[in-house]
Amino acid sequence: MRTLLLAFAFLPALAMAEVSLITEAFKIVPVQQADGSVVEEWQTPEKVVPGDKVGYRISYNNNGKEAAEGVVINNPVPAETIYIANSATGANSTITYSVDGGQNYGKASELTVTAQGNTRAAKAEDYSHIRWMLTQPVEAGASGKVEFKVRIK
Amino acid sequence: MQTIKRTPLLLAGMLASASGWAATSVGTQIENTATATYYAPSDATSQLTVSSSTAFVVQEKIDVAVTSSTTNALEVQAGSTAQVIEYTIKNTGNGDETFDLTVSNGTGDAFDVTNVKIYLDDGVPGFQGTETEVTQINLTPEQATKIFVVVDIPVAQSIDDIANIEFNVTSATPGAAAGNQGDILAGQGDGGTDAVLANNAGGAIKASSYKVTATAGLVVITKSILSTEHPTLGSVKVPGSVVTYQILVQVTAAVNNLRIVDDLPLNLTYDAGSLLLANSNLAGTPLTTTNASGNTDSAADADAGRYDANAGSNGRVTFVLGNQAAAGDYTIQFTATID
Repeated sequence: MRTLLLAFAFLPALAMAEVSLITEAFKIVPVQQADGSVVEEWQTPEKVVPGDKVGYRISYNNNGKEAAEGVVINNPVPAETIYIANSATGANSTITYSVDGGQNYGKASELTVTAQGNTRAAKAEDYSHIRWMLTQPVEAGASGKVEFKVRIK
Repeated sequence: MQTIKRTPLLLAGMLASASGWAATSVGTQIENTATATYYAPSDATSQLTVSSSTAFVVQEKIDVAVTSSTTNALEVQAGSTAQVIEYTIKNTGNGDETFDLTVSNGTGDAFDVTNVKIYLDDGVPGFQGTETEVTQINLTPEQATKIFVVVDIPVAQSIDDIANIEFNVTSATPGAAAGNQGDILAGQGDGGTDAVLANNAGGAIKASSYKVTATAGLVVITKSILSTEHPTLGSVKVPGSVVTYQILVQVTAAVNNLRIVDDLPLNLTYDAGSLLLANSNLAGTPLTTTNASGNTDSAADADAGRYDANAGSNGRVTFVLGNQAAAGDYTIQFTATID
């Protein structure tokens, strides 16, 4: 009886678009390659200490039977971290930022901060939130990812 | 004028904001939550929401910064004592940390400083000599403290002689001293976290130097208290305690009619027959009749030492050392009892 009820509860959702998110954190470690160049490797987030770079990957997947439209991914910059300028990426997305706790969003070049009566252009460390607005619907069964990097204070 | 005056202020503000983050405390859990909203084409009025979180714990970073008050060599006179270099040690890590403090004499220089001591600043500006000697300090994150490294300069040094020292500040966490930057000390962080060595492998070395800019006088005299011992109460300064004084006499070139005079302070009584004289530098070593010669208090005999209870305000010890043909050292010792 219990099983049946649960199955019914899920049915409407399955019939529509159903987007799932997975958030993963990585410690970004510069690793020198054989040819002398240095490549940033994304490793499991163990032994993270102040000053380290951490990368976040948010993977989305549409498990439903319909496309998901108007997909917007919001991510506050985690506490005790500073967003690293220009580090947010995501295919087919418009990336905007908030400097007021997520109330308003704008492009990096348009944001300003007012402190002690002086208005200046916002810096990456001022950002409180990051937003990705996907420019294309996520079709049924399709998936993708967005990423950004921070530094631990 | 207004503009010129404002510029440094603005610059200072920018610098502070660029590097002014307090390190995230060890053990802090950093959590990230992403949220997505979307519509299904079949029902464009209902916004759907989904979110996902991930978290990790910040480990302990062991890091320290050391600066000194003197960037150039400290200019000293040969034979001078208690030459002070002031250091500031700051815990730039994110956990409570104990640091070992040591001073090592550098190599490739003209001489080594002697009698090296490390003192913790007591908050009173400058070094008074009443501070506490330390070999370790505990610092909380971002806490800074002042340390004095105090040394003596040998009498024999010449002008422009240089002595180098290294002031070493090393994390006392097991494995830190021998570790390299980036090493992970499993379980050694605060609260059971791992500790990660940052710059200088969890320690820092500050090099300093002393430059002799004046030679010693013909005779350099250093007086010190070797010990204060009560017959039954131990090492305390109370009435009845015996104070052992030593006077190191360093002759740097030939002198004639050398006479060492020491008036006793008030509230002490000279211990009759306690004069001892050694023809070498035994400063810091208790003198006995085995390593030194006993001198009588009488002025009438042939030995150098004498005591005159009626001279000075509270008696006077005198050693008549006479003509010195060449450089050499003497150590004098006597005792007095606190009234």
